[in-house]
Amino acid sequence: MAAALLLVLVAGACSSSGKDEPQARPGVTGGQVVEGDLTLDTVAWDEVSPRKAVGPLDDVDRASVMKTLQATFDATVVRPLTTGTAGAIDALFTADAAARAAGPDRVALFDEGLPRVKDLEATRANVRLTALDNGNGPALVVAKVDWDVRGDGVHVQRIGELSLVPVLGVWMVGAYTVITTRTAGGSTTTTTAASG
Amino acid sequence: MRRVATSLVALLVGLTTVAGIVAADARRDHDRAPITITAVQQPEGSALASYEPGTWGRTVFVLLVGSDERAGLDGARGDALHVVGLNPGLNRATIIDIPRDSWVDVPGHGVGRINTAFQFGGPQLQAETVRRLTGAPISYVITTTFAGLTAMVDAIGGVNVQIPYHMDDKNSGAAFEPGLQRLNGRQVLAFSRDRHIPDGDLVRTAHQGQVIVHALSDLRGRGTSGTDTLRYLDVLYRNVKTVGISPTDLFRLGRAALAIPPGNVRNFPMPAYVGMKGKLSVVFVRQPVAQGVFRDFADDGVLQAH
Repeated sequence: MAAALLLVLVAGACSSSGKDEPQARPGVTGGQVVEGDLTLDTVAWDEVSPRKAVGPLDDVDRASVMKTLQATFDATVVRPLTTGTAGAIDALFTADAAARAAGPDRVALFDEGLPRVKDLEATRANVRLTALDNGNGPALVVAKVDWDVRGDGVHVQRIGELSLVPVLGVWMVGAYTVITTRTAGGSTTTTTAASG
Repeated sequence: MRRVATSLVALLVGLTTVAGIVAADARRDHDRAPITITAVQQPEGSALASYEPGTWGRTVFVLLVGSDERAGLDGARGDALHVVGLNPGLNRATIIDIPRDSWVDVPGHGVGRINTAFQFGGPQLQAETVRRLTGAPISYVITTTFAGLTAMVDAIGGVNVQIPYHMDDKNSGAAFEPGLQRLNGRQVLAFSRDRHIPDGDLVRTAHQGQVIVHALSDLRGRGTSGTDTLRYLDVLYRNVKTVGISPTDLFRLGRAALAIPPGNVRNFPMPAYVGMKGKLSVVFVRQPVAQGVFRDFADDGVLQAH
């Protein structure tokens, strides 16, 4: 009888996969595929609240979160693949997360050391946002990412989650879990990283 | 989608019909929710007052209370007590099972059965009583009624439980043959309440701990990501009353619980023995063994030397 939390959470699992049903919910575009575009596509943006049923994340917050995610995508994926040099993430990640990302987890987060790609395109650049309302607006956003970029014989797939928190009015990545699979020159490698 | 809807309906129907008194969305009628999560107020001036629960990576202690609140009973008592230490840093957890009839000091009420603390002062006094006994700085108390437990188990389609031996008890309704079985809500309640078995109250309490581990195992199979955790929170907010705990702390608590594999969860009954205090059948804490266990547990939520 003491398994209340676990049982409630399990019960939640029974009813939680409706996220993939865009017609049933607000804040969903349907998950269209992005071809040849390097702009992230927000395919869902929900907010969980202790006060009301699940609804869409506010447009202003959504735009602010996506600004950080797009900059992260550019700094860790697009720039290293197209120029050979990664962008800075100091203004995008919290101090703790940046230290880990730039240190032990760098190989999983930055697409460095691969042949330069001239014509990079994204076949998937999907982001699903789920926010948590803390009573005064969102206090946490989990971004589920599914990115697939390729060009000139290089192919990078990245799936996982980036958790963002507001820091002085700016949404920053505070934790992450990613699995990255890279194919180049006929060989494929997979790396993982998790923080928080 | 149909499966999702069916599961959701099962959850809500389970809650509304089995529990009987439960509103479909606790956000609209919190006082009728069969499960409550309460943040513990740490004592003023205590070193524990500086404890910040739910911080990423830090050990957190949670007290699980099965309340015997039922129609016709005057004042609910803690019928089952379990202290859970979650240590995300070590990726391990320990559950200390405390028999409800443990004979301990109840702050402000003298020495008595530990479960009377809930009757006298609700979750706060129950947490303080357990903290004084174990030394574990409890941050949250999760309370569920019999109806809440039954409804939740039914809503998830049952829980696998290893039945250790033949059980046949008219009082609790436990009637089982040994072996691994999937029990429904009524059966889990009966299994958890049967005390007419060898070592009665002591073993019964350990059985309840086993149910928790089995439920954790079920849960991890259904998703452990941050997005999953937020989805669970939405359901939790529909069915659970929360007192003094912020959504982000609840999220962190969920993440901490989900991060630990069931194989790394240890269920440990408090060292104790059954005896008499006057005409009362009670459970005495076995010292000094228990003190050593509590010290080992309270420092980081993990038993290293036991």
